[in-house]
Amino acid sequence: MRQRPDAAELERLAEAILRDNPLADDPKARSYNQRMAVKALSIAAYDRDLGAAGLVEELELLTALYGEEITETGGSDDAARIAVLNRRLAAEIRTGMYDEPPRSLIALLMAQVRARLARSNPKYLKATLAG
Amino acid sequence: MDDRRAALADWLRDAAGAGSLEILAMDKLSGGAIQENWGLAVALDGAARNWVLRTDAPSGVSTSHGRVAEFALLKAAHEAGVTVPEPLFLNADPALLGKPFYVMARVAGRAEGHVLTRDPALQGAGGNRLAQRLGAEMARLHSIRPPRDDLAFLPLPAAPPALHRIATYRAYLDDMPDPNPALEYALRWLELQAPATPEPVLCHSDFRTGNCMVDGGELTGILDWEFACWSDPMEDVAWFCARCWRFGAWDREAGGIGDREAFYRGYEAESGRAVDRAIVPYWEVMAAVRWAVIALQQGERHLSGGEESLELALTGLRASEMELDALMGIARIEGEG
Repeated sequence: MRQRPDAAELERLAEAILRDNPLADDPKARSYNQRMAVKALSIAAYDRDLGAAGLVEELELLTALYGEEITETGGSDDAARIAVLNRRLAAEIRTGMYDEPPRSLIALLMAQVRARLARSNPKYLKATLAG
Repeated sequence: MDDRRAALADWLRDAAGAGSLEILAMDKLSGGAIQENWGLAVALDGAARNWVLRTDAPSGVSTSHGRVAEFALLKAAHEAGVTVPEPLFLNADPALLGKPFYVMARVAGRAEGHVLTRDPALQGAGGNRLAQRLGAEMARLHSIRPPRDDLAFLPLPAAPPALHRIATYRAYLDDMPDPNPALEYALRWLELQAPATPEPVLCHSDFRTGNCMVDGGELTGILDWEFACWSDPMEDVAWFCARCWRFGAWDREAGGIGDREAFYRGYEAESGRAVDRAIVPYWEVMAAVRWAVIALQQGERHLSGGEESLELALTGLRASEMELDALMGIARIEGEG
């Protein structure tokens, strides 16, 4: 499940901060805003390059956890189905259904977090997994 | 404003028991979404003094203490020997400035984590010396135990502090539109492993490098007492050491400035009690979850349409860093990492 904001919104925010920067005369603030804009645009570019590929992996991992039930899950497309399943999974974890977590759960959770970090902070992901 | 400034000068003069007081300069200081800080340069009976006046910002969050409570916390910490800006005067009456305020001594230095962790004076032995000092400071704070009449506004924990935290963070997650199975997993794990905390102490609850004012490598004051509460002392220890507060200096496990054992040494020498090394990793998972939830809340301020801000949106995306820390922390404790 891709974390919001999406690529279009990140691009809009980046353009807006560069265009409307109210602190343009302050070099420190200007440089901070520029860094944020670069970050937002790099995440947006990642999304556009990846397309729907990330969803395929997540759906596979959810299938590994839930089995064939997944085909009966509502949702008009993969993204909607993934959202429904994640909501269900979050609730089930809280009620204790996974107190002895199967490997497929840990694999799914790690893959979800890795996917979000590959998008938002690949440097952190690499350094943390290496450490 | 001139009228208010004159009235403030009169009030400060009386509070200080002085014959005369003149406000020479009054400047708003940076930082503080929750409160406003004003630098005050005054002549007190002709002698120069530098103070800070602290009051609520218009958009203060409701989870933090008001200034009256914060003044009491600062006084309690100061009396326990913790290095804080000396609390001087409290005005709880909103008549003068429109809201309560207090005045404390102004201390020199900077309190910015990303600067301190790169400060040449704090590399190697200098960093370890400061880490050890901070351990001793935290131990002094933790010598304050309930009940305390002066801190009666702090509720005593009805349940183990860990369970209280978990309930709070779950409620925050419930307010968000998107589910987060990774954080739910970490919270459930924390619930199953929750320590009892039979002897809660006064915890700062935001004791991290970025809240330590340091000047030339020396501590000048521990700041921002707004989240202080009765809790498990190891929660404070873990918040200081948590990976998310090392600003990339990950091998310096004590706040990105020194060795973890240096920090522990300071704590143990001052308190006469051992740091519970078995439970600190648990609280570091809690720290990661806490910061992740806060980051998501910040992001949601933008996403919900209330406050358009790229900074808030990017802060929300940072939650995954702490989610990874939490999952890996659990795996290490479980012997799988």
